[in-house]
Parts: sequence; C-alpha cells; structure tokens
Amino acid sequence: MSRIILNTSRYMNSLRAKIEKTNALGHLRIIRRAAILLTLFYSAGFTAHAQAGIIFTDVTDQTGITFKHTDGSSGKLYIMETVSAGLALFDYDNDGDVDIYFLNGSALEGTKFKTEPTNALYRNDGNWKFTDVTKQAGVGDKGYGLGVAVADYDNDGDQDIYLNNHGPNVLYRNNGDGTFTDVTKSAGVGNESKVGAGTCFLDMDADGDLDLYVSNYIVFSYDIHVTMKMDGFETYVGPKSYPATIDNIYRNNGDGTFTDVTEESGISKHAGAGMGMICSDYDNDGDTDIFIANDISVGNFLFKNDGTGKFEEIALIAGVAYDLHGDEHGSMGVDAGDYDNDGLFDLYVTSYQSQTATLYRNLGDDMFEDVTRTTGAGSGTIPGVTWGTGFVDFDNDGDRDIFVACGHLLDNIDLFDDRSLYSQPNVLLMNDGNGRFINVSKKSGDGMKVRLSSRGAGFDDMDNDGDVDVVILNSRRESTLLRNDSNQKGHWLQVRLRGVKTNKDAVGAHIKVIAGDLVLIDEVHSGRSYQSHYGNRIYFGLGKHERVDRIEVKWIGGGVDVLTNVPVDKCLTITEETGTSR
Amino acid sequence: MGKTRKKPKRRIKGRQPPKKKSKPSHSLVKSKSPSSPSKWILIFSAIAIVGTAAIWGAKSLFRSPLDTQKKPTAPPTKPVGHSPLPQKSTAEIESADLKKEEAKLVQEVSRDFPNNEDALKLAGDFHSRHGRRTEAVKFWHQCLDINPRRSDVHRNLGIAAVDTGEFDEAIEHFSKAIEINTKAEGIHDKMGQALFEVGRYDEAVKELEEARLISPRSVMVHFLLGQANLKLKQYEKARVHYHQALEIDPGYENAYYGLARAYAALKQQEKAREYQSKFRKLEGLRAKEDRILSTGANLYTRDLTALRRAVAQTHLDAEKLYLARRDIRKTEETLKKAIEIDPNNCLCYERLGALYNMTNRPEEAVRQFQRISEIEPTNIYSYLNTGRILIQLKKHDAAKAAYARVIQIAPEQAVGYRELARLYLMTNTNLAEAGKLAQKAVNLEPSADSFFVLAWALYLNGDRTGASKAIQEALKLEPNNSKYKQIYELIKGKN
Repeated sequence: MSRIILNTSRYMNSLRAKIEKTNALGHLRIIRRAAILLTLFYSAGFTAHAQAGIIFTDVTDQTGITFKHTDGSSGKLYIMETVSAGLALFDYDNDGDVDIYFLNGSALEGTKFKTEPTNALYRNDGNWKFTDVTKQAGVGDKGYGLGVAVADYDNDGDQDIYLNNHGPNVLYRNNGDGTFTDVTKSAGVGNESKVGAGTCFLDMDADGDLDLYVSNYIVFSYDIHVTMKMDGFETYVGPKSYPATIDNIYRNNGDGTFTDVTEESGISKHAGAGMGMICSDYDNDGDTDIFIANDISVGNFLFKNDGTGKFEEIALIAGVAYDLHGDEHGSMGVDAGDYDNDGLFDLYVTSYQSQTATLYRNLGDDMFEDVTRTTGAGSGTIPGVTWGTGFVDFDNDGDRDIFVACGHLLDNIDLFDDRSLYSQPNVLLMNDGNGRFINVSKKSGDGMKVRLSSRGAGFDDMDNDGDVDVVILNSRRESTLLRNDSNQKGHWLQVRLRGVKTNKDAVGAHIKVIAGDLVLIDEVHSGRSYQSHYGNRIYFGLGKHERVDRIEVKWIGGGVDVLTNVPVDKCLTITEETGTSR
Repeated sequence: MGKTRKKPKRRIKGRQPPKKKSKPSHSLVKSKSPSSPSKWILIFSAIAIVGTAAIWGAKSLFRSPLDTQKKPTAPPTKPVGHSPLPQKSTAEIESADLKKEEAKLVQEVSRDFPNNEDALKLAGDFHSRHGRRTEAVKFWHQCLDINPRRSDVHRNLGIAAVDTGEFDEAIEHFSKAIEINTKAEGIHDKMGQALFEVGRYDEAVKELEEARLISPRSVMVHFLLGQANLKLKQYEKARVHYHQALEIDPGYENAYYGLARAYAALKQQEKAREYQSKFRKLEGLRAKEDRILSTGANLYTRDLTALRRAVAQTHLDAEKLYLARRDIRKTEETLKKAIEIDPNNCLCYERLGALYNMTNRPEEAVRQFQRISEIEPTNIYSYLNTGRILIQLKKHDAAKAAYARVIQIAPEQAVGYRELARLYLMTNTNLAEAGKLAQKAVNLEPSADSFFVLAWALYLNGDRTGASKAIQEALKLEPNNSKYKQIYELIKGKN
C-alpha cells in the first residue's frame, strides 16, 4: 500500500514536474513569441516613425556630377569669395527633365589656375544620371559667377541664361539645338564690371517680353580691398566696408536688345548691398513687384510696380525692410510662397549668424508681419549663416515646407566664435498645416546630415517621380543632390505654363489650384532664392484630394484661363488661351 | 562693422542713479577726531564721512563688471596716453601678446584659487569673451557644481543658450537665476527676451514688468515691453512703452520703428509716417557711422580696442579674487597691468583709486580718479570720488571745485548739490549756500540722504523745526537707520 502511495506520489511529483516543465516551456514559448511579435511591431513602428514625414537621401555620388566649386581664393580674403554662388535648374534641351547649371568662381588677383575653372552644365539623362555638356553647349563662362536667371527672353521657345558676375555679365541665348551663343554685347546687358548678385527676368510692363533686373552687391576694386581682425584673427570684411550700390533694370526692346531704364524706373534712387531677390506679384494687382534682400546695409527693398515698370520702394512701410525689432539683417536669399494658404504670397528671407531667417506673412494691403517667432520658422537658423531657401511642399500634403541651405562665410569662424562652423548642416522645416513649422532636420534622412558650406539651392523634380528634390551648390566643394524619398506622400500636380500672347515662359503668371477645400496658389519665377533659378514647373501637393476641381491661370499682361476637373499625379502643360478663358 | 556682424548693442545714454547701500562692508576712509568744538558738527561730520565714504568706496570696489562692462565703442576722439593707430603687423604682435598675457593670468588664478567658484567663473567668462562658448559653459557648470546658487552664472548660461537659439534651455537657466535672486538686475529682462523669442508674449510681459521695477530706466526693457504688447495687439500699451523708451533715450531708433508699427496698427497713418521718417533718419546716421567704423585703419583699431578691453576685464575679475584674499600687492599689480593693457579703461583707474584709498594712499588715489576725468570728462563719479578724498586731505577748495564740476556736468542730478552742501556743512562755511544746495538736492531726488543733508543744513542755519521735519522724512525712507534716529532724537531734545 505504501509502495503504491509512494509510487503515486512520485508519479504525481513527476507529473507535476512534467506539467510544470511543460507549463514553463509553454510560458517560455509564449513569452518568446510575444517578444518576437513585440520586436516586429516595434521595428515596424520605429521604421515607420523613422520614415514618416520628409526624407532626403544623398545621391550625389551616383549622379556622375564631378563639379567642384572654387571661390578663386588665394588667401587675400576678397569679399566676393564668401558669397559665391548660385545655380540654375531648368530644361535646357526641352526634353522634359530638369538639367543643372552650376556657377563657379574664377581666379581673383593673386590666384593662378592650371586649368581655368568654368561654370558647368549637366544634362539630366534620367534615373539620377547626369552628363557634363558644358563644352558642347558653349556655356562654360570663365567669369566669376555669382547669380543666374533663366528665361526665354527672346520668346523663341527655349530658355536662355543670364549670368550676374563679379566682372562683366553674360547673356547666353539658347540656339534650340543644345548649344548657346554669347549675345551679351549685342543685347547690351553686360552691366559694365560690377560685383553681381541675384538677377531675375520679369515682364515689368506687361508687354509680352521679359525685362531684366540685375542686383549688384557692392562697389569693389582691388585698391580698396580691406580685411579685418576678429579677436586678433584676420578675416573677411562685410559689405559695410565698401560703398553701397544701386541695381540695374533693363527693358526688353523686343528685338533681342535691352535698354537700361534704371533711372526712369525709380530703382536708381536706392543703393544697397543686393543679394538674393525675387519678383512676385505680392499684392495681386496683376503686375510684378520686386523684393531685394540687402546684406546688412539699409534694410531690404520692396519695389512696388505701378504696372508700367515704374517702381516705388515701400519695404519700410510694408514691414519687410527689417525684422520685427527694426533691426537690419544680413539678408541673403529670399523665396515667395503662400505658407498658410490664404491666397497671398509670403516671404522668407535668410540671413547671417545670430539672426533668425525671417518669415514675413503677407497681410494684404501692402502690409507684412514678421511671424518668425509665432510660427517657428526661424528654428535652427540662428547658429548658422543661411542662404538658398524655398517654400516647397516636399511631402505633398498640401502645405509648403521650408528648406534652408546653410554654411558660414568665414572659413576661420571657429577660431573666434565656436558657436558656429564653416561647414553646417542644412535645415528642414516641416509645415504642420496649422501655420507652424517644425524643425525636422535631424529626422529626415541621411541627406540632411550633409555638412558643407552651402550657398545656392534649387528645388525641382529631378527624377520626374512627382516629388520635389533638392540640388545644392557648396562653396569650395562638390555639390549635393538630395533625392526626395518621403513616405506617405499625398497626391500632386505639376504644371508647366506656356505663354502665347504673353511671354513664352509665362514668367509672372499666377496659378490657383482648387481641390475641395484646398486652395493653393503659386507663380512662375525666373531667378529666386539665393542668386539661383529653379521651378519653371510649378508643384502642388494635394494631400488626400484625388481630383483638382479647378485651375485658374492669370497670365501677366494677359487674360485668365480656367481648367476644371483635372486628374492628379501628373505633369500638365497649360498653354495660354487653351483653357476656358475669362 | 565687419562681416561678423556684431550688432552694436543699443546703448543706454546716461547713467543710472547710484545705488544706496545702508550697511557697507568696507569703510574706505577712517573716522577722524573732530577738530570743531561743536558736538553736532562732530556727529553730522562723522556720519557724513563714514556713510558717504562707505557708499562710494563699496560701490567702487564691488561694482560688478557685468554692470559696467561696455561694448567696445569707437576710439575716443582725443585718446589719452593711447598708442597711435597700429600697423597691421604691430596689431598682430600686440594681439598675440595680449592673449598670451591673459591666458597666463587665467592659469595663475586657477593655480592660486583651486576649486574656487569665482576663479571658475572667471575662467568661463574669459573663454566666453573670446568666442569659446563650449569651454565657457564647461567652467560655468563647474562653478555651479561648487555653488549651485550662483544666479550670475545661470544668467551667463542663459545668455549663451540664447546666442545659439536654444531658448528653452535659456529660459530654464534664467528661471533658476530668478529663483535664487528675484531682484537681480539683468535677468528678468533676459528672461523676457527669451520668452518673446519663443512667442510666449504674455509671460514675456510679466517678466519685463519685473525688470522694469528693478531697472526703471532701462531703454531695452521699455522697448521690449512695447514689442510684446504689439504682438499681443495691445497697441495703445505698446505705444506708451515706446514713448517711455524714447524719454530715456531719444536716439533709440528701434523705438521709432516700434511707434511706426503701433501707429499703423492704430490706423493713425500720419503719425506712422512721422515715426517712420524719424526712424529712417536715425538709421541712416547710424549706418553712416557703421560704415566709417568698418573702413580703413578703424578695422584693426576696433578689434585691438575690443581685445584690450576683454583682457583688461579678465584682470579686473582676477583683481577681485586677490582683493578678497587681502593680497594687496597682487591686487595692485593686477590693476596696474590692466591699466597698462587698456590705458583708457576708466574702471581700472576707479578700482585702483579705491584700492589706494583703502590702503591709506589718498594722494595716489586722487591721481587715479583724475585720470578718469581726463579720459571721460563727463564722468561725474570720478569728480565725486576725487572730492571725497580731497576732503580727507583737507584740500577743501579743490574738493569744492570737484563737486562744482559735478553740478556743471549733471545739473539734473542731486548728487553734486548734495555733496557740495555736505562739504560746506562739514567745514562750517557758506551755510546759507549749503541750505540752498541741500534743498535743490531734495527737489531733484527726495532720497533719505538728501533729506539728511537738508536736516543738517537747516539745523546749522538755525531752523530746528525744519531740520526735524527733514530728518523725519529721511527716517520715513530709511526707518532702520540708527544714525538718523540718533540725529532726530538729538534735534528733538534740543527743541
């Protein structure tokens, strides 16, 4: 009896142990499975989080672009070394993709090159491959490149290039066959030999051809060159060490030539230190006005057009000359865009270290308000010097984000001010759709980790995949190409305008896109941001909207075309007078 | 201005009135045995000498460099003992030598004062002045490790954070500084500024109102209050604040800009245009001045001037440490070195003068204050200090001339009238004139000290009732002042 009981106990113990072991194993299995599942969920979540929003990938190495910028320096610390240069994104050969034109410095006094540096034109071959076609195209200007604008100034159906140099400027006329001809002399736009800056084509008098605004930086010659010291270290001076200068404006005569109308336009009354600029109909009155970002001198300029090409400078009254405190900034680049979708073009102006880039909200009635602080649009811009910039809807969610190219202009800044460095990461500000910007620079992919001394930046759909990519010119270094790999993007529409009665490039035309409750506006520019050019195609992010209800195009000096019920996720070319006109 | 775009700080024109300390920790002038047989002259004189000397001496010795540090300005038009404008290479050599000298001093201080919070702060300030923020922050944190209740260090850390746009961190530091010392100058305004930068305008207004109570004549505070109210759409309040800023400094151009915006918002376009025009004019003048300073030899001079000032400041910071240790020899050596480095730095002479006075070398002290008068002819404190020491040396006529000069320079300030009256009363001369001067002082500044001097003058002029009233006014303002109480009792007893 006892043996049985004993045996039973042993069995029971054994059974219990077995059960317990089984249970333990079972539990372990469950725990293991749960762990695996959790890990999977976590990873997915993490990945989703990491890839949420705007993502840029640095694809420079795979493009074949070997352009390396030079500022022509020789250690003499000439001021123009610090401000070179812009770039242009445009379709030079009309093959449907966006090509790249980089500006380059050249030998300044005291510098010798074995091979003289030139500007460089890269043809887009698709799939992020580019070919250097500078020589074939004949656009290898050896001048000291600073600013560029692109437009069809002669209305022959292809885009021409204007270079605003330190030294004589250059107008390259596109021959339509992949080559260009230097027609500067015959056109009369050499602009003598000044220190250039931003430049724009615009139809200032609405007569159907494109006039030319040329901003100038300072009056400089080698015999007035100076340097300065900071905490005992020799370094570059700023524009205040040189005389301010007026800009120039040329009226297109319609026959391939231009006339200097600086005096009669009213521009000549205002001397500054012009840098980036943009032409925009900020007041929606049907003519193109001009904003000049002046580098720490007299405040920015806002030239209001009376419709005939006569301008009145109103920046102070309008509230865009200075920041909200009335302090002048070292303004560098500027873009115009409607960040809050209220139907008015706002302005974003980049600037020097310890100054936020400034967002001026257009209030209408010729009034702007500095809303940098309430919107967060200055986030990340104080430690750096900020240059090229753009209002771009990178994630196609229906509101415009802001990209800012950064890089100091003093290459030894860290010796006397370690808050900043010559090479700086760029800044990406995501629009939250409620009038605020969030600094997502550190969460937007390896493309935002690039640290160079950036200057000009351009934003275009380089791979024709429906989102906007970024091309950056870096001082003294290779350029940067960022592919937009954002996930969860919304629908989109790209629009190319073709003028017929008005200028062929439709420069100055306004577009309004309405999709449900989403109302977006934009306009065609030639020359913008920091002394650069991009955006002949206009990009609209539509979010969840699957259809565009209405597109209105107001042609500068022309009528209005309306299209309705437009499908999305495509590139649309709208020719003047082919829509329902009104 | 150079490409580094150091924005010229808006200077507050005019000095703030001197602060009163009722219990000074140092007495610079020894009490002397009365020579006059009058008991009252003896009492009043003793109080006057001890009290006044203590006030000015303590003020001179313990004035924080943060209060008096000025941004480098254009070189004086008539430099006194200033070396000629340097050639580029001379400037380079001098810059290098200055930096070496300064680094050596900082090392010495670190060695002489190991693990000392003030020495660590000095090191942090030194690095900060030369743009080495990372190092500066390190030393400041080490200072806080020893004494977490250093509001001045929290303030510095806050400012460093503002400079890099880290406003939330700045607000944290300013909050701590305020928690430690709610009435400290120069913190509430910085806090207000940081809050403004992140769009927290309501809170900014609260902090700036506190700042206004502490520094009622701060132009920047009034201006920022204007800005914050403008953002809150309180246009009328904004307008008032801008105008208050201009009352203090009519040349403060940002206030004109603010007024233009405020009037535009109030739909008073005429006024808006008026202030825009004024702003433009001032802005144009400043831009012109900036251009002059940004050209030619001025470019090197400015940097060298700034460097000299920075290095001198490090010496002044070090001097405080050695003085606290009562190492008079080293203190004097450091101050002399500071003067050698920056011969136009008035603060250096001021502190050396105070040191000589403290160590019974009044003649040498006078010489230092006179140097200040040569460099800054409108610096009233140099004359006040000179006058006080001349009294000790019984050079009453010279003292009178010094106080007269104060009145000439600053006729709207009470101090000159008050000190001259005091001198007359101490020497029992020109008593009627003393009475008039004392009354003038009270009219300009009804402070306890002014009432005290008036009481004294009235008493000596035979008006005991008036004297009694005056001393009672002094007591109202400083009810715990035992000497005023004593005087009051004496007068009451006599009556």
